[in-house]
Amino acid sequence: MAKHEPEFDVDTGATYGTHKSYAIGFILSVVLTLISFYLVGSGAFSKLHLYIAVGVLALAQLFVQLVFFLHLSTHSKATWNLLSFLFALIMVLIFVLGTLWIMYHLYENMGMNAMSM
Amino acid sequence: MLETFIGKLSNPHEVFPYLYEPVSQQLIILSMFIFIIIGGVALVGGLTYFKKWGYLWREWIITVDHKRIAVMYFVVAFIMLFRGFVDAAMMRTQQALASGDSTGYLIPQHFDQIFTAHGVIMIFFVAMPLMFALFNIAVPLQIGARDVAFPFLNSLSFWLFVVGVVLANMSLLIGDFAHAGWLAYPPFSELAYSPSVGTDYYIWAVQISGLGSLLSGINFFVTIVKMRCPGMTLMKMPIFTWTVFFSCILIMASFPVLTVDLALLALDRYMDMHFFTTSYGGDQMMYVNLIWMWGHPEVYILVLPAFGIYSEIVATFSKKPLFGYTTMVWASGVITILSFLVWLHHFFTMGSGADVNAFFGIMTMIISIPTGVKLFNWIFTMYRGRITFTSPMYWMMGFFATFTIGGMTGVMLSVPGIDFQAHNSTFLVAHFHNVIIGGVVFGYFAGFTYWFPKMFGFRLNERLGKCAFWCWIIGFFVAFMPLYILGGMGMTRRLYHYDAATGFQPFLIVAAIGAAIIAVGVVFQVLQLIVSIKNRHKEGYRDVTGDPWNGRTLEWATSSPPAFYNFAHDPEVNCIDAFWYDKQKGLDVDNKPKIRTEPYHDIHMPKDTAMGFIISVFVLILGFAMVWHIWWLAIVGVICTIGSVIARACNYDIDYYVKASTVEAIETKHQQEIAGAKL
Repeated sequence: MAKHEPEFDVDTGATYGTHKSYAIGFILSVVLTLISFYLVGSGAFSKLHLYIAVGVLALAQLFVQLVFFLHLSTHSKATWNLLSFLFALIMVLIFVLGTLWIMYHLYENMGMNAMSM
Repeated sequence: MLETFIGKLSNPHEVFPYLYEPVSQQLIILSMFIFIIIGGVALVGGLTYFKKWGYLWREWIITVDHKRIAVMYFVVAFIMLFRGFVDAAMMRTQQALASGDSTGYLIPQHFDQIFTAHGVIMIFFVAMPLMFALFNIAVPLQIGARDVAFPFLNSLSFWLFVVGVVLANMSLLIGDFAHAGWLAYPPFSELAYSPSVGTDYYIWAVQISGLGSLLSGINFFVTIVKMRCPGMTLMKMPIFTWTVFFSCILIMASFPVLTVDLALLALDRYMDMHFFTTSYGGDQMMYVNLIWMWGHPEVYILVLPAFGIYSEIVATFSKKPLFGYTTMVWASGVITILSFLVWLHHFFTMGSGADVNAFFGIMTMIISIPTGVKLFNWIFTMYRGRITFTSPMYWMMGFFATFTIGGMTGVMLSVPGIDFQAHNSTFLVAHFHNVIIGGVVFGYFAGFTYWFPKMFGFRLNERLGKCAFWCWIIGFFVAFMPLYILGGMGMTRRLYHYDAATGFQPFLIVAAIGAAIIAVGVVFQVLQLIVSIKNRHKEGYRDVTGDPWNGRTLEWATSSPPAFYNFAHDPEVNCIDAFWYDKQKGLDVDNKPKIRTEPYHDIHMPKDTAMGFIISVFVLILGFAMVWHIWWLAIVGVICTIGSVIARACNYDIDYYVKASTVEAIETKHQQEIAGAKL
């Protein structure tokens, strides 16, 4: 790719990736994953704290991937980026909240305690 | 020692399970082997005798041309349709026979594999590729593009799908296939209950072809967003392209869920984890929850493009603009969102409480409203139209009747109380075949007939097409109406054997007769292809204008089959059905003064590449090695796959320019053909 091109796409506002940005994104993702595994393996946290910690790490990884791999940046001005991001957010909310609702309901109805599983 | 080198292949019980089965089963398998060997020898021999290997490689295997990829999707999908249909016929025969003292002609572990393979093949290896074939042939042409956004990715998607097909069918020859039904519910699909390689074949076949589907979804989404011709704003897109757009959104949002779910099952099986086991905190209902989070949108992934096809066909053959274009677009959009909010209706009976069941029951009833809106739009399009009753119109009207019945039984099942009775019964089986055959299959057949002249430059025989239609629709009702009744009588699905006192047998015999009638329809379809190919140069078949149906959208504005660059000049549109209005104003292909005087320009095109094929071969090696636990080969497969992807990414020599003089020569020849046909 020639050097004189702009850093971001003029139509969509998405930045172009460089080798460096992809490498940083990859390393960050690996590190965040390894931390999650370590936390689970070490058993240092109580169950509730562990859930929260792994959830936070997963969210952090989500943003790392959005910024470094999907090039979501402050340049973004086009509606497509915003729309697709909002759509993805709604989907994740439906999937996650829906699943939590369904499974908690199941456990409650079946007389099982979800937190002790 | 041998096991480290060839994994589970060292165990003859795993590799050749049929050697340890009764002779009657071995005869069935032997006849299948003979069939495959004859077919294989005929194919290889034919290619060698006619010296077509080079042609096959240059013109098809390495192509990135969306029109050729469409043809290849069709070929593989129809072969798989044949196999899926044979599975269906075997099931119908077994159930018609296995009453009372008779246990039919199959052993249970074969019957298990057959109903699993039938479902997997019909959805993943028939419906999905037929859908991608139709995407490929129609979408770039409809929006006036030269190809899809990522032509290489398109080729890779196709070959990854073929890897899935190869893995699923390899299980016929070595090892067995999954026994656990088409969605492989745990705990039965776990190692404890399914220790054989069958479930691993299932996992890797579906994962790899699913990856291809995801890539295709992204590809067509970007194509539609970025590559529309000048003037084609979103609300001026052909309606089929709109439905593909929504279908792609569904693919992108739901296929990753399938990938994750199957990956977790694979971790259970390979790494001894306990995501879905009944012990160590696993929960099989989480698998069911996740798989239907993909599975329900999948139904709409398939049916939305079919709705788009019906919309194109009804407007074309009624000679009227589609009634309610805007409501059609919004109805598709509403279906897209709602289809993510109904998944629990597939497992009402798992035991969550009334709140959850009521919510998903009501959402399910609501989703039938936009679908009903569409049905009325199609009927109003036909109202006072000048309808020509071609075979695509036959499929469409068959769809009206069939899909409406299927939709109504679906709304019945959406009431949790009724679902508790009908769950897992043949009532359910009848319902989903009712909507999938009546909606998806009829739609894809209609689309195939409709766009066939665009692909090959000649029409299919109409009379045989209509015979096929009548056999399909009559056969359908004869085969599936008894299943509704049987469901009411309490017959569960996937039943291997039943007591004579149940009274199931007469109905199952009728159902088997229905399957036989559908088989006659399939024979008519094969005949239709043969007769049409034989007569392709004759009057009534050959089409040189590129517009055999007097169409409305841009794909009919170019020659049939289109030149590899699709359009010599970028088309420009300023309204819906632009081509139709151009024709009304006397600016059509035959008489386009504007275009004839314009000089031709160089055209920027992608280069053909073998990398899609090569990467897929490595992925096949990886999949095979994982199924058979040959770890060193799996590592080789991973390294070669990643290496070839990197090699492709580092290649910048991927495009070229077609010279204006070449374009001119091709276009002049086409103009002469049209002029010659007119004389």
